[in-house]
Amino acid sequence: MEMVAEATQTNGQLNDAWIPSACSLCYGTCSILAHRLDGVLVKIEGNPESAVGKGRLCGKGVSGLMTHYDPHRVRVPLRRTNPIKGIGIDPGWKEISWDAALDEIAERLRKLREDDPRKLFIQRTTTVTSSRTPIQVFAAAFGTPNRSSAGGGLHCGNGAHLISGIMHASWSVVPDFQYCNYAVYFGASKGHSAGHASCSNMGLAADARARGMKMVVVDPMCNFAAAKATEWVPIRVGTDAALALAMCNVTVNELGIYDAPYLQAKTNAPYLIGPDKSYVRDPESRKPLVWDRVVRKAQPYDAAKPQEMALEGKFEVNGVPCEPSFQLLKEHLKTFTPEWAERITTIPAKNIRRLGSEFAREARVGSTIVIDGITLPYRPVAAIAFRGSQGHMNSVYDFLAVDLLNHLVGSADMVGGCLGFNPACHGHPDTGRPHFIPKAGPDGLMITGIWMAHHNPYPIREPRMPEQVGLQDLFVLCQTSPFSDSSDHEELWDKFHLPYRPEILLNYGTNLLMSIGNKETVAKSLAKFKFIISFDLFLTESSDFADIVLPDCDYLESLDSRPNFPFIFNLPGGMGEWCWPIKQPTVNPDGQQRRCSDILVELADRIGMREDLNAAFNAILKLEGPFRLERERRYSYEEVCDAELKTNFGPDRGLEWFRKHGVIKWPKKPGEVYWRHCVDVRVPIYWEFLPAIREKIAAIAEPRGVKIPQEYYEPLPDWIPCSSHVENTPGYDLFAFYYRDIIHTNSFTMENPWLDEAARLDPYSYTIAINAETGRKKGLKEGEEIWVETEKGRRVKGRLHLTEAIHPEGLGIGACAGHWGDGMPVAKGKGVFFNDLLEVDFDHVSPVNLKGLCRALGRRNARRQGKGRFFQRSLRG
Amino acid sequence: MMVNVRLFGMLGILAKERSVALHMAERATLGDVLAELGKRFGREFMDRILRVPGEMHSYCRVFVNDIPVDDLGTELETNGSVAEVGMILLMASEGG
Ligand code: SF4
Repeated sequence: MEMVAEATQTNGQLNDAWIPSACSLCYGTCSILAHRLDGVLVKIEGNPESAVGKGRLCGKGVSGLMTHYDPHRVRVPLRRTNPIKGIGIDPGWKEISWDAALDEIAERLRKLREDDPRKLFIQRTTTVTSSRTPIQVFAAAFGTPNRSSAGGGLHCGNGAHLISGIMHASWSVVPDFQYCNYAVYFGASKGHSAGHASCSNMGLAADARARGMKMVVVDPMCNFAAAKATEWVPIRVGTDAALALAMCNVTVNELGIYDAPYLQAKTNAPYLIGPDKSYVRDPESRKPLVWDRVVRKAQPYDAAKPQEMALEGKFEVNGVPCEPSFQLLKEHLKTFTPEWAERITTIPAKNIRRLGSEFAREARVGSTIVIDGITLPYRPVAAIAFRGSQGHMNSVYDFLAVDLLNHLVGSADMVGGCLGFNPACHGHPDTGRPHFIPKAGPDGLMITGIWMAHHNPYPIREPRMPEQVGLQDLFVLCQTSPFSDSSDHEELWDKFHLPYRPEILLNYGTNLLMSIGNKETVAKSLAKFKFIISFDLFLTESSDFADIVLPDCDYLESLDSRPNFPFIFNLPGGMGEWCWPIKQPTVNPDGQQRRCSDILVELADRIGMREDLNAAFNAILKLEGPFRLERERRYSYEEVCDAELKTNFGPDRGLEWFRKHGVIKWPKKPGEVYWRHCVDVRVPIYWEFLPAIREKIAAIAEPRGVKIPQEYYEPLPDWIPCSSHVENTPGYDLFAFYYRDIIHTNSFTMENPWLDEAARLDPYSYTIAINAETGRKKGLKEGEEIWVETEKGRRVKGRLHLTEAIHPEGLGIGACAGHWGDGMPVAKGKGVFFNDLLEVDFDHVSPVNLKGLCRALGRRNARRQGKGRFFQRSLRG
Repeated sequence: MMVNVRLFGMLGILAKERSVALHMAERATLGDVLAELGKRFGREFMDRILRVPGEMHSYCRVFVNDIPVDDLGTELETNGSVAEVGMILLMASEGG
């Protein structure tokens, strides 16, 4: 039958409907059409009416039916009877009623809130983007600052999001596929795998390659992106910053190519820096000064014309010797010669020179293009980093060094360049909503117009004695943190006199035991909670630690007014359409499953925090006018969704309208997509604020015995080795890294039989990959079972795959596999549990943004890693 | 003028009062109201609201007569006879 974006159509005797909704098998959240025949879902396709996915689905999205109809889903609330908790210990599940479950949970939460609301720790999976709102609302209403994400977990883009936020006002970056001619990827897969705007980007990337865009992929492994690239550049794990800095050096110092007007107008490159590494400021206004070449004196940055600001030279202002930050950067970059970088990265110096030169020349600095009648700078090059390159202890500099390439040639958010996903939106033509535009903040530097978290990346928060269990209020440049689960968390909490300990964990859909690090460490922290409530689709390894498991609805049974986050997360960047889809139930649950969002509303009522909940909904969803929730009235989650849609799109476009139409769309304007040219904001190529932040953190941490290393907090990026790079224990000669498999999402999808079958057919999904030549030298054979051991003695076992498609020093493990629990029998025993190799402690994370959890690292979403060796071979079986 | 401040979530729990009635001078600003709250509830309370003197944390949301306000210089207008101020902290982290 014809595919239509309408809720229901009848076809003779059968009730036959194609229902527009949203996939949630990864956080890409592509728009779908679910085909329901007589109450049974028979197919899922992409919704061509939506710009989110553009009618495409990946293999996971197509296979959603198999997860939905999985006989092993949890269908009733369960209460543990065995008080002992541990890996492999049977919880003794007993079925209980929803009322009994909610009575007990509400009573415990009510008492905890009276005692100290901070004792509640809330964790949610990143897989389901629409869980963000109800859970953030519940946390704010309850009064706990302790909420985190796992699933993506510590493998989240702490560095990518921070720096994309500060430099591009968006959650992530992507090439402007429609106009880009030359893209260099550093440990990224945008347009070739899962993730933000995944399926839309795959189409855009394919079209760009067909058009002739040259794509260079720097990665220890030639997999999803590199396999489709023009050129794969194998790199030693965790050394991306060294390559990027050498390319910057080639561009600026060897070729003398940079975009001076961009640097003058859009960055802090002209700001004068004194000997103390800080801005030289106007004594009255305290604004940073620039050197005005026309009047030959220093002026506040907003008093001089950008084109008259000096980028180079040495000056003296009020007796203080100073230089523009660009001058300092230029000098700083001279250290990073291609020959130096060759020793670090293993990439030949001549190739580094060629890559730097290609990037600089393809940028066409100075050129313009007319789009929809508007003349805009044309810079068709993009340097793109993501999780792979930032999943190391050197996370911040790794990402920043790559992004510096874009700023030097002026391609940041310009036509053809490196775009943040949609940071400026003027709103729907009828309502002007949602409306967000980056604006200038302290020192003229950019504040995002919208952000996923409520603490903006800039201005940076003031470090203080921590009250969050993750210490994020001390390490103010981090988002998610390992310290709720780390082996040293008690020690750290003692040192910082954390005035309480977390007692109740409210978990939404995460499998912490697999998604953080080694299972023993995480299990110890889970066992310490006095009570754990877990919303689950399946009984996972972590559910075994829960006291009550609540059967959740899956995405095909759920409703949300914002399955995507507007619009810096799921909507593709570049020209095209704004698009707001909804998620709606396509079938009813076949057991006692209930939606987490509804349960949280009910729990809030039972706890006695309805007013707080309504206030939090109003604040987080920005509900306004007649659609603002009244303080004391009880609303269902459906009513809240209706209010959000009407607030944004008018009284006639509430939930009923969206149920029928699925999405609302309107065209993007060039002034929105290429906002940077039009908005008067600057971004920091010189992170002047970093040393001061370090001083404040160190003033709190160092008297308590926690050293904050200076070298990570310098204003200009550097390459700092991870501990793996300096590990000398004999026999540990490979860098193990994890990468995200294209056919799996975190640890969740291994239970899906179709995906499992595909993964078993794939030579990489469930194996340990090492370079064929390296393997031969070690006497290893294709297909045999091997153990991998870290220098700390942690080991995992798996089947070996020898391949030319990996760096000779690399050891690649795909996905978050290796389930051992009985609750997901399809997944059990499949693949390799990479995270079990990882230490979870302060020594293995970036001391800036707490990213890493490793010692060096892999890419392609790899995050971290340990140095590994093969220490034993066993027979197959 | 009369100002009713409603403290939601953690702020209400910290202050141990969910609703605070303040007598303020005519043309009082949001900054004046916060200063008054600071006198009542102390520095720890104010640290959660202000990033630096004169600027709120981005995660502190304030509504005056149901309209979001982030400029501390905003003069309060009464909604009839009373200005209604609502405050909530959205402190949770985010990832993905
Ligand atoms: S990319 Fe993610 S959201 Fe899109 S179809 Fe695949 S699993 Fe679903």
